[in-house]
Amino acid sequence: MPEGKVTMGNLCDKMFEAAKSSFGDKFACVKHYLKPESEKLAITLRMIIEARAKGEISKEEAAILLNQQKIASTAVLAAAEGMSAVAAQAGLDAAANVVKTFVNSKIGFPLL
Amino acid sequence: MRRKIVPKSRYMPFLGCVLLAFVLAGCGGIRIISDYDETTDKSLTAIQEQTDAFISALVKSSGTEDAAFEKNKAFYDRIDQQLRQLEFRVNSIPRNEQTIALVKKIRTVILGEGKCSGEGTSLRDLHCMSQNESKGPSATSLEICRRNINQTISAALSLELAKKQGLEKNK
Repeated sequence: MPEGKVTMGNLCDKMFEAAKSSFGDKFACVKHYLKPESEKLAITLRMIIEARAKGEISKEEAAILLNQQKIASTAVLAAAEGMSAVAAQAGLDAAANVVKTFVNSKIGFPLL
Repeated sequence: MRRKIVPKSRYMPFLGCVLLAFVLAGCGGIRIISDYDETTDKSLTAIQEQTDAFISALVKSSGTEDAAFEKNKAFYDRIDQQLRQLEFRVNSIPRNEQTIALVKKIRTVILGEGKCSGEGTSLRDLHCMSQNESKGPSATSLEICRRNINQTISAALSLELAKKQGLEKNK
């Protein structure tokens, strides 16, 4: 978990930091996706808080919108996890292609 | 003449490499995630477009009887049907767990479980709750709801497009 107080101003950075620590070494391949999505989540959360403070939405509406945002956040993380699996799959496929080319060229016919 | 005996330890790594080569390059290779699916991509895009258009129309009619839940029930029925078709599709693709989970989340944010209260999670819950049932949700809550829905659908679409890019890299 990121340290320090979470404020409206640093909310996006804190969310991004939290994602970074939980993704560990897989973070590099999902960074480009997670950064703008964390910003979007932070903006939406701010909109809910401000709308509730101004009385533009009721307590029940705010509860639904927050529940909905939790689902949106987990969707972003699930997509990021899927993307790291795509990167791993691309690595495996690339390795397989190298082996295939090598074996076929040595044997002289397309065995693989 | 004495035959030279090659110790097992000398040829085992080579044998291991050959076996690994066959596993890596063998029929179909190792799959940890499904390939890109164009039908899933198109269905997700269609659901996003329809939901977005519906919310725009609801924002315009918010506060009037045209925005009443009963008058707009047809949209929820249509999306329910489209989501069921998409769920059937993604469930039939092997190694597609991430996309299956994402489609489930899309259902949760658009339709939910019909709780129609603060415990709800969806656009429908926001629309069918007692305070909004007759004249629709406010424009502000609809705009926030639209952002949540778009971000959830966009997550599923981004994953599908990442699969497509990953596939094209290794062609």
